[in-house]
Amino acid sequence: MSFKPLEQPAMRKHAEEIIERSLCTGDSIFVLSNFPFTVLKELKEQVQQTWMAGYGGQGRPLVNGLRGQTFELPWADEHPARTLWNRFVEMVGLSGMR
Amino acid sequence: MEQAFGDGSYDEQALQELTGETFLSAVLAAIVDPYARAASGLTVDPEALLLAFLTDTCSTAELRKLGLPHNLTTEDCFRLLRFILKCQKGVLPGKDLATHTRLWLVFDGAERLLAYSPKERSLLSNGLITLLSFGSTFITCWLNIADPLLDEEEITQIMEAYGTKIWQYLDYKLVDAPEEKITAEEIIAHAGEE
Repeated sequence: MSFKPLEQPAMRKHAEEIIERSLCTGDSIFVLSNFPFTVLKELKEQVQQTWMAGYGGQGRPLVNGLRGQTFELPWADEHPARTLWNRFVEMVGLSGMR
Repeated sequence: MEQAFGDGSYDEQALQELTGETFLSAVLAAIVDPYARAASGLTVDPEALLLAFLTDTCSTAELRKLGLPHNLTTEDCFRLLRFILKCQKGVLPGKDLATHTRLWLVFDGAERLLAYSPKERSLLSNGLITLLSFGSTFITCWLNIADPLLDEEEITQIMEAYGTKIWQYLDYKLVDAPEEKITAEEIIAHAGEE
């Protein structure tokens, strides 16, 4: 675990490293961050490319790829926890859940 | 969900093994095929009824038509989401990359929790724990603070608002307080320039 606050560019680099490591092991990672949304989007694209290119360059293309979902936490006045679920249903629809 | 079982073969028993309970497996089965479980001679579209069930509440008569015993609680919603995400990831055991999809989940605007009521804080935090605790593979989950102007003390407040349990799942804390806080006047002046 790493709990040390990092400078912005180093933080981005660190994020890239831990993501790449998790790709190589298939492990799950849970990250608390305060990246601008554009940075998260760039990181996701980077992961997508690495993943699709064959698992960190190991040459095995993956047909399943990466599936991304972004949930914006609701505001306080709209039953937030339930609204989060409803947003998921609206986002993917019934066919997306099948 | 069909992909999750590899060869596409699944049934309600497979779903029950996945969820460990009958109610959520019945809901998942209804999602897979709303027409199979719905009462015959329905005048309402079962898909529309199921969407109402998932996003709102149904009357007892409507539940009977869907073949479901009761409405979803908020906790049920997160457990259901957990199983749907699990299916999206792939339910086969092991770490065979060919049978899994990597999930990239972003929960943005984490600081909004500060304005929630204690009950809603708890529901959401426990909901996130439900999602985080469902497996040890193929998930990248971001809880992202969208406001770039928060200082370290405020970030600590946000973390405290989530309670303590969720942080046992935390692998990396990538937060960085800005060196200089921007004042409200500077933000207004900057907005005027654009």
